[in-house]
Amino acid sequence: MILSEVPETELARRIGAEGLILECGPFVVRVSSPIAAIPQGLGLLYADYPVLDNDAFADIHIRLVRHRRLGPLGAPQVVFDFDGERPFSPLPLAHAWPCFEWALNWSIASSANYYLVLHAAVLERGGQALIMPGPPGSGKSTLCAALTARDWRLLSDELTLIDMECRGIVPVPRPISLKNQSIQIIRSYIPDGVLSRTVHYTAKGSVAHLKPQSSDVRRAGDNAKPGWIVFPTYVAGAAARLAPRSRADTVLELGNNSFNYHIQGQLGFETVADIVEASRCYDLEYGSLDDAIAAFERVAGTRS
Amino acid sequence: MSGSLLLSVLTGGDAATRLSPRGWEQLLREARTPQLTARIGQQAKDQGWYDRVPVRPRRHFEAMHRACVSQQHMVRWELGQIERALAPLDAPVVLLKGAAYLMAGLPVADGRIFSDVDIMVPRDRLQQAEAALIARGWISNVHGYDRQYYERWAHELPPLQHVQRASVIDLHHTITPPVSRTPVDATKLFARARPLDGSKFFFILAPADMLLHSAVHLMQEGEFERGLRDLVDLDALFRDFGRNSGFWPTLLERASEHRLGRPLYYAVQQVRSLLGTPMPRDFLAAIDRSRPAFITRRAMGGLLRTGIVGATARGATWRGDVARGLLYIRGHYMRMPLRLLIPHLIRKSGSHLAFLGRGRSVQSIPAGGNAPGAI
Amino acid sequence: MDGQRWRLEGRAQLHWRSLDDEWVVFDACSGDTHRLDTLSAAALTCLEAGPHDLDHLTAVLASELDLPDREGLASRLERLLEQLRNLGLVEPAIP
Repeated sequence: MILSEVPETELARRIGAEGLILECGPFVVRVSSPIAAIPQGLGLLYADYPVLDNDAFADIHIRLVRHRRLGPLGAPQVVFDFDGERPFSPLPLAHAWPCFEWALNWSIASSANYYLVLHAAVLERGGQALIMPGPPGSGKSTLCAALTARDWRLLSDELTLIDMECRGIVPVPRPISLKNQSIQIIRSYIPDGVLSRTVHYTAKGSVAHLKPQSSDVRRAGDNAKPGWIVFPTYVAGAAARLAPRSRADTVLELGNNSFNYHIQGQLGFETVADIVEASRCYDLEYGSLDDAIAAFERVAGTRS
Repeated sequence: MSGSLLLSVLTGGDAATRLSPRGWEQLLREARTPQLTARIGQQAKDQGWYDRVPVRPRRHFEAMHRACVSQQHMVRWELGQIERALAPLDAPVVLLKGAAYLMAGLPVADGRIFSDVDIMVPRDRLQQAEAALIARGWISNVHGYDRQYYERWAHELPPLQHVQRASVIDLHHTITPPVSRTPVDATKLFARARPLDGSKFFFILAPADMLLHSAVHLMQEGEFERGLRDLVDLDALFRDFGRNSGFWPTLLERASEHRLGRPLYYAVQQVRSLLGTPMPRDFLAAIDRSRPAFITRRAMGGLLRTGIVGATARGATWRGDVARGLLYIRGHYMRMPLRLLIPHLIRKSGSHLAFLGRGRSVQSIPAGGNAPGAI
Repeated sequence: MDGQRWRLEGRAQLHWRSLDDEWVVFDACSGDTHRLDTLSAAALTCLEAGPHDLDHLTAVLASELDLPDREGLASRLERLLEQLRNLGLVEPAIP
């Protein structure tokens, strides 16, 4: 059963009570919250995700509860409750949906030590993975969103999971997080895209989430093989420039852009080296989304 | 207490394999705070039921196992650096707690997560040792009032943290504070310390002293969030050392000599009651003579059990929190005379423990870089 | 530095991967990962096999890598040894 098949009232009831269990890539997530924005957000953005029975094992439990700041202001807030601990400060109640997405990011990154986890977006075409490492500001989320509308399957916009046993890249498709100008850019670029309501004045500015394509969610069980590793840099007004990048340097960059490389020991090293060895590695400088998409088409034309 | 699944798995052999999916989920959640996930995984391997753990929970055990192994590598490497720093000292350096367990290859080290590296040097070499470590890149984060507290009253210097690697060393000169009600004479500890197998430099405590240190630490350090983990350590030490029948009378002798009969009594009571650690009858009869007056024993026993188990039950219970608060104060009480205790509690600001396991530096010649820490 | 012999750091356990004309190396003991160009990799491999002083190392590498400019090579290797020492990969070999 997928989430859209659960009647709305039942959805709200379960989330408000014992919690609703979803499959999210290789993870099983239990979500519970009394806050209305949560079943609303799930209904909109997670409609295609498989829902499991309540007696299933959950890797992750996201619980968002109401919190009220003390004092005369007493504004209603939301906070992520993690078994009695609170890893993040409370946020205004209006930020409940981004709060959910950030809590899930954090929980996946913390629970995923079975995998090698890179801080990178990853998409797939023809069975091969396009890995895009990039610090915030490189524009990788916007690129990622645009690529999903141009015949690239979304594996993740943020967390590249690598199975160290089989060297496969494991999908964990999620709504894509867009900020500030990106929101309007993607609205224009993907006219029939489904976006959550924009939430303003968060710590990251204005934030909205793009619903992943149904087919991408359905194929969350299909791993990808290494294909390409591209480091994007946005430079306003620049023409798109694709240049090969040293593989040895790419190994170090991936290690440095990983959440858990340092605990995986030699296995982590061999895994990164194998992935890089099997990939074509590039730097991409771009000034417009269209140019970048065209550059990726050129990249896709090359075989590893 | 009756809801503590973690305890029943720790004591119950392969009963875990009959858990429902929700049961496995509950077990993992209970194991998280006391950092016992890898320990359960290790137990499953030792007892031969690891391959009967369902796939999803097993990934969690596998992940924690890898984190453990990588930490162990890091500790070994850090000890190499410490050896280089302290070799010119020409004084015995004794490994304590986790570092000792690991380097001595004791079963208690399997699946155990580290926080700091604890070492002990003679008190008259303490400043020199600290200076030698600082010269090699460790720094002391603690200044002013807290440092005074450490230097005058405690048995350790403020933790030293390495500038690049974030590894933390706790440098001790004995195993309890000199002004505490139960001060331990370090010369006796050094006299019986033995060279670490495979090392030309480090020493470890004699087994009875090692176990007493663990018992003292449990009762007095105030880190009761880790209470159940400390009990698991104690249980493992008792079972390992206790295979030698000569160990038990020696333990009693040492406890008496160091005047640690009471902490040992409490430790024995808790570890037997929660984990069922087997002990010889005549040892138990002898240890019973160290019990405090009837009322204190009942109150302490109740407090300790609720405090330790409260930390593992899903979500902290109110009663558990209160019990832990009381125990924390008791920990301090044992360490410092009352007239000094209250001003200290008012002025002290937080602890400075950092976890080993921050990123190792990933370097390119000629440039360098640091991996983001995640664990 | 005259006659000073160098060797691989005593506890290093190196795992090598070659990528195009460069190398990446993982030291299982320290947990560090390094990227090396051809010359650095060759020098480290030499020292991994046994201790060398600068002159000997220069001679071996000049011949193996077919590099004519010995003096330039020697001064480059001297700097490289210092860098490798700072990274904890090599140490002076005490005779």
